[in-house]
Amino acid sequence: MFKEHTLNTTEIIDLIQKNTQIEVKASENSYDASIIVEPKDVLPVMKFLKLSRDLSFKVLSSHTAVHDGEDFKLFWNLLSYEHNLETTIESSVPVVSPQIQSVCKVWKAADWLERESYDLFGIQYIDHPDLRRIMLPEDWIGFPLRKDYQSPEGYQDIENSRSEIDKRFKP
Amino acid sequence: MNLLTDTLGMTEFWANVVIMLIVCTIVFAVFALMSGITSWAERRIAGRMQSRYGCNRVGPQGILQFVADAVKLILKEDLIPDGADRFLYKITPYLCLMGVLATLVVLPLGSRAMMVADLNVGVLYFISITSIVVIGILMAGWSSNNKWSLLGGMRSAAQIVSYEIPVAMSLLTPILIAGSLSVGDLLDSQGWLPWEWTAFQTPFSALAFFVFFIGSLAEGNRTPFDLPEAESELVSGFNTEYSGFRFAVFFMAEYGNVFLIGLSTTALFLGGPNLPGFLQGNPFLSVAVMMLKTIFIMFVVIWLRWTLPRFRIDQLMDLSWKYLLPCALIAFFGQSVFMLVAHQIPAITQITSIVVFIVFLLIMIKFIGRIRTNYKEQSIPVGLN
Amino acid sequence: MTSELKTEHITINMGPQHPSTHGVIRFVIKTDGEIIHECDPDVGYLHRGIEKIAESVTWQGFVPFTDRVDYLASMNANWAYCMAVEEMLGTEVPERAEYIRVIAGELNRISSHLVAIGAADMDMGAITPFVQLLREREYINDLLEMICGARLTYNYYSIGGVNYDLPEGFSIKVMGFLDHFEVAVEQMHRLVTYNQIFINRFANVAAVSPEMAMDYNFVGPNLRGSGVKYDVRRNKPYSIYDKLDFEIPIGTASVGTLGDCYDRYFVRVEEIRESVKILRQCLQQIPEGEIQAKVKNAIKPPVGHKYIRTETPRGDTGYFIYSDGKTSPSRLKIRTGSFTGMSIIPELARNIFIADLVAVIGSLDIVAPELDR
Repeated sequence: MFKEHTLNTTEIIDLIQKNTQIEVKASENSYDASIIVEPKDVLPVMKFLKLSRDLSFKVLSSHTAVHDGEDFKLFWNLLSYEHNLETTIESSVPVVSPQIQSVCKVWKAADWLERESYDLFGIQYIDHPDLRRIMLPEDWIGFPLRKDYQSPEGYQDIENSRSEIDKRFKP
Repeated sequence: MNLLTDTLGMTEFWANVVIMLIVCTIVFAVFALMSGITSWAERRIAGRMQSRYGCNRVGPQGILQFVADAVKLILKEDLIPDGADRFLYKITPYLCLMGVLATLVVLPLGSRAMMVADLNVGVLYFISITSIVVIGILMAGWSSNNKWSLLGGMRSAAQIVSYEIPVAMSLLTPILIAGSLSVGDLLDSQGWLPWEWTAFQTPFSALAFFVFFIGSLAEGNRTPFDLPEAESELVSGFNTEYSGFRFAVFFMAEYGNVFLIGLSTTALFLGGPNLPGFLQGNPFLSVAVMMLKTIFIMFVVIWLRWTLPRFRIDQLMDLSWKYLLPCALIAFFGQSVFMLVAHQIPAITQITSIVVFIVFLLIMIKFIGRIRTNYKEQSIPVGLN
Repeated sequence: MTSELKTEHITINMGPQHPSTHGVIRFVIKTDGEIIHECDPDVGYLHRGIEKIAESVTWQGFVPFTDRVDYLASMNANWAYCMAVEEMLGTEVPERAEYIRVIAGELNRISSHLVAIGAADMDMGAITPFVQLLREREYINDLLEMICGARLTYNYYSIGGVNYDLPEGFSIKVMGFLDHFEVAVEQMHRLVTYNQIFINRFANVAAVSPEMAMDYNFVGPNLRGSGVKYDVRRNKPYSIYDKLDFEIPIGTASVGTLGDCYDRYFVRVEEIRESVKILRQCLQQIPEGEIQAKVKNAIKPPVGHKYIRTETPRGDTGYFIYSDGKTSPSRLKIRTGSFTGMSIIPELARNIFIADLVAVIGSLDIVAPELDR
C-alpha cells in the first residue's frame, strides 16, 4: 500500500536546496528531526514542499510558536498522506518584532492556526486575510502564552487580583 | 329548552344562548382535559420509547402532571420582551387557541347528535377555520421581536398554507362518497365495520386518507413537520419569548391540535362513532367508540413524533406540492370514475372495500412482525452486574 | 412598479447557548430568509488555557488535565499525552499495559462515536435514537468505571502504563456487552441510518472534496468521509495496532456526493463496527504481565521538541511538546480534530439552509472543550 522507503530529513533538505537554492539546515533536536529555515525563506520553502511531486506535503498538521528566551521559535508540522511522510519546519523570529510571512495561501488550515498563535503569542503574520483574536475576547490585553505575561488584575467587572481571591476563599 | 322557556320565563333567543354557552363550556372542558392528558400521554409514551420513566410523580402514574404544569405556568411572571409589539404579542395565544377550538364546533365528540352545530357546510368550515392558526403563529413570530421567532413564524405560514391545499383536496373524496358537505352526513355514509369506513372503501379513498393524515400532521406542526418549532434549529420557534400563562395557552393549543387530528381523522375517515344497527345512537357507546379511535390516532401521532427525524423546509415544500397534491387529485379523480363504474355494477363496491381492508391487514401483520423482531433483539441481556 | 424591492440580509446570532452547537460556540450568520450567506464562527467560550496550565504543572500532573481537553474521549486524550512523554523519555510500555490501553481506548472510541451519531440524529429532530444510544453508552461507562472508578474524566493512563489492572471477569463482561451492542447498533440503523428523511437531510449537504479536506487538515472520520484512506493507527502504527486486524472505512458516496454529511456520519458508524472487532481480538490475545513500566518520580525529558499524533475519535490529535529539560513542559500545544473541523465552517456554510448548518455541525462532530482547550 505504501512505499517501503520513505525519505529522511537529509534527503528532504537536499531536495529543497537543489530545487529552490535556499539555504536550509537540519536542527540538532534530540527527538524529531526538523529543518531550520530563515524567516524570509519560509513561504517559498513551504510552497515548494507542497507542490513538489516527490514530497507533496499537502497537509499542515500543526503550527505553533514557543517562547524561548529572546526568540519565538515557530514550528510547522507537515504531513504527506501520499508518501506517508512527516516533517517539521522550524524558524525563529525575535520577540521584539515578531513578524513572518503567512502561509495561508499554501494551506487553508494555516488560517486558524496562525490566528491562534497571533492571539496567544502576538506574532504578526504578514498577508494573513483575517488576523484577529480567536480564543480570547477582542479587548484582551497581552499575549498569555509569552513567558513574561502577567495575569491581569481583572477583566471588565471581574476581579482577579490575588488578594481578592485569597479574601474570598479564606476558611 | 322547554325547561328554560317555561319555568324561567326566558324568550327562545336567550334560552338558545344559555344552552349554547353550556354546550361550549362542556366542549371547552373536554378539549382542555384532552389536551392536558395528551401532553401527559406524550411524555409517558416518549419515556417508554426512550427507556426511561417519564413523569410519574404527580398523582397515579403522574397523570396529574398537566395540572401541576398549568398551575406552575399560571403562577409565573408574564414577560414581554423589550421592543415587542405589545398588543399583538398579548392577543396572539388566544387567536391560536381560538383557531383550534373553533374547529370543534363541527366535529362530533360522540354520535351525530353530539355536535355543537351540524353545519351544512361543515367540511368547508373545518378547512377554513384551521387557517386562523397561521395568522396566530405568524403574529407570534413577528411581535416577539426575535429573529428566531420570526423565522419560525415564516416557516409555519409557508408550511400551513401549502399543506392546506392537499388536505382540502383529499377531503373531496369523502365528500364525493357522502354527497354532502355536512359532517353529520359524512358520518352517516360510513358503517360500523372497518370495510365500511371511508378510509377503506376504495383504493382512492385510502389514498385520500393517507394524504389527509400526513397533511394534518403538517398543519398541526407535528414531527416530521415540526419546523416552526424545530427545537434544535430555531430553539423553540415562534413561542420562544412566551412565558407564563400565555405559553400555557400555546401549549394547550398545540396539544389540542393533536386531539383535533385524531378527532377529525376518526370522524371523516374512520367511521366515527358508528355502531352496529341495534346499538346505533347509544350515547355512551358512541362516545366510547369515538374516543377509542381518536386516542389510537393520537397515539400514532405521538409515536411518529418520537421516531422520525425532521424535514428540511425545501423538502417539506416538495412533499406537499410534488407528491401530496397530485396524490389528492388522483384520489379525487379515481373516486369519481370508480363511482361511475359502481353505479353500473353495484356489487363492485362491497368487493373492493373488503379487498382494500385485507391488503391493509396484511401490511399491518408484516409491520407487527417487524415490531416483534425488534422486541426480541431488545431483550438480549447485557450481563454487566 | 419599476422600482426594485429593497432586500436586506438579517444577521442572526446562533449561540453561544443554542441547542445544536454542542457546547458553547457562537455563529454569527447572515441570512436571506432561510439561506445562509455568511457564517462566522466565534469560538473561545470554553477556552480554559490548558496549554498555559501545562507550563506550571509537572509532567505527570498534566495527565488529568488532558481528560478535560476532550471529555467525550478522555482515555484517548490521556493516551496521546502519555505516549508523547514516553517517547521523549524512551520508556518501553509493558505489553499487557498496551493491550489494556487499546481496550480502554477503543471502548472510549465507541462511546464517543455513539454521542457523535446520537447528537447528529438529535439535531435532525430524532430524539429517540439519541437517548437509545446514550443508554448503550451508559453500559460502556459502567465498564470503564469498573477499570478506573470514573465515568467521564478517567485519568486512567499513566506515563509508562496504566494505573490499575483489569478487574476479574472483565473480558467476559465486555464480550457479553459486545454481543448485545452489535444488535443494538443494527436496530439504531433501522431507526435512523436507513431512514429516507434522514438520508435526505444528510446526503449531498456540505460535501468536502478530498483536496479541500487535506487543505483544511481534516482528520479522522471527517477526512475518511471525504474518501482519503488515512488512519494513524494503520499508517503510522503505534502501540499494538500493527498486530491487530481491522479495516479503515472510508466515504463511498453511497447516497450522495463524496464527502457529504452522510459519508462522514456513515464512516463513524462503520468505525464502531471496527472497534468492536478490535476489542474482540484484544480480549482474546491479552497476555499476563506488568502493567506499569518503571518511571522516575521527577521526570525531566531532555531538551527538544516532539510532535506526536494519535488517532482519537475526533481524528488525528497532535501533541506538540517542547521541553527545556525542566520538571514541566516549556510549551505544550494540542492540535485537535474539532479545531480543524471548525475552521472549514465559513467555507462550507455558504448558500445552505439554516437547518443544514445544524447538520454540518452535527456531522463534523465538534466538541466545544476540545475546540477551545
